[in-house]
Amino acid sequence: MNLKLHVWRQSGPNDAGAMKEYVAKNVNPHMSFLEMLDVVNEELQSKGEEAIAFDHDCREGICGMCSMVINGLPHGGHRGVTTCQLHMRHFNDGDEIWIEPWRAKAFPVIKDLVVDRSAFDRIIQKGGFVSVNTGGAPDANALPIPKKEADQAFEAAACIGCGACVAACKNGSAMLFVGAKASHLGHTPQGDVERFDRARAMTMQMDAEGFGTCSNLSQCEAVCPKTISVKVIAELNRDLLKAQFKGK
Amino acid sequence: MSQATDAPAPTGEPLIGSLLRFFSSSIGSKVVMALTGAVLWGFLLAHLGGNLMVYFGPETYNHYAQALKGNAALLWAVRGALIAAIPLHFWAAVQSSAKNSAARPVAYAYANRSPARTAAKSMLVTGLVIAAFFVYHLAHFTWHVAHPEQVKLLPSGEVDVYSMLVNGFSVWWISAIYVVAQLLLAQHLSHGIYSLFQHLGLYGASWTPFLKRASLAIGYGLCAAFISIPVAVLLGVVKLP
Ligand code: HEM
Ligand code: FES
Repeated sequence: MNLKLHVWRQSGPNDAGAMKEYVAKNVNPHMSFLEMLDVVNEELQSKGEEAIAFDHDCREGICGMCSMVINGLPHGGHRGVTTCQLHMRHFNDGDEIWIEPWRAKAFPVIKDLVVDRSAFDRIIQKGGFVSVNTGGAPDANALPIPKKEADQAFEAAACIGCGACVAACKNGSAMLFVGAKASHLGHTPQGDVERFDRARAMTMQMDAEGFGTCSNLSQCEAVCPKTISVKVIAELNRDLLKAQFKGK
Repeated sequence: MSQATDAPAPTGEPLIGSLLRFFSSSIGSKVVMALTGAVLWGFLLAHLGGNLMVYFGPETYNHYAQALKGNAALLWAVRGALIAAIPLHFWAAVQSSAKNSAARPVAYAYANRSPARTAAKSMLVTGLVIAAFFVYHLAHFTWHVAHPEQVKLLPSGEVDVYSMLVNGFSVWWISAIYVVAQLLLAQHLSHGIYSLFQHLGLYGASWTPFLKRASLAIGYGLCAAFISIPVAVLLGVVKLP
């Protein structure tokens, strides 16, 4: 199939950038979205033009590097799917596709579709860890954790830190990401000890990075490739309130 | 390239300072919004309860109005709560909306299609219209300056609130203003009730889905009950004796 692409091109952080049109010819419907772009890039390079820069690594939906807003939806908006796992069979011959980077003040564009997500790293540095050395992996069931708690920790731990939640949110809020990290650690006995300090430190850094506030729109939950629930946001809110009013 | 801003480290600061910092944080300002929103919601329920007495006729309704006016302690407790809650709610709304628009300096070329209810996305707009309506409503029924010709006195010398209401709502465009304002209020509450629970960290896998539906039902139900009053006047169901 043949497609018309509108792609954000920006040569560097200080360039103004603009949408540019490309034609993608003979696209195989079994290709992933990134493979389609690889083909476009090969053609661009053969013509001596600069390839479209985009982030990617694992290409199997686990690393969280791929990051594109496709027709107004982060990762293209298919439930539980990252851009690298999105297949061209979801598009039709002759379709026009708009491809843009994550848009947020805290995620400045480095080049084309590549944004700098180190704001997330700095939030993690403030509390996304357990402070004491807990040793190697313990024997299974040496430390009993109720099934319900373990499930909640696992659900939240599925977050790959891609930033689609920020890209989707009308307010550019990072609450789903921060909530997922806090919930993941808070539901394990090793992480529970520091949950209140963690909630405070991580949300303060989130504010300092310039992310927006949560209006409970649930746009984040709808596009999250790991389908993380806004429950983790409520949990974070509850921890912060407890931290503030119970002096924890 | 990126602004490697560091949040200040929390220290053993005095309580008042820590509270102020909390309430001006992104989550704290939502807690202010949620608590004041809950106060306003509670007020609306009580206000609705009082005004539905209009269906019991002029004596009952005027009696309610006079009892309210006669109970200065209650009246000022309610007014005090509103005078505190409205500016705080407004301040938190403006503060977080400013942060939100700053958080996305470059807009998407293809409009953001990430799904969300329109009511939820337009809280600021519906809120501001409600604020304007609130001022008009006070000017109409409390200060008697918007339509002073509708104000008649009872033989006892007190204001005949029942006839003021009927005279007011008999004018179709005054009723229309009330109906439109209530429809917007319904939108605001249909998201707000769910949202305030979420902001206060109150979530339950078993009851949150129900709360979402209840939020819609309560938001629209409350406002439908309010709207019934001008409609009843226009239809002649509620009329002068
Ligand atoms: C002064 C005019 C008003 C403005 C500017 C305003 C604005 C807002 C905004 C922007 C929000 C959304 C907060 C968010 O993004 O999460 C909100 C929430 C809310 N509003 Fe208002 N509003 C106003 C009046 C009212 C009134 C009269 C009520 C009374 C019923 C009310 C009840 C609520 C409730 C219950 C919430 C949910 C609180 C939460 O999200 O935690 N508001 N308001
Ligand atoms: S490239 Fe690793 S998740 Fe898409």
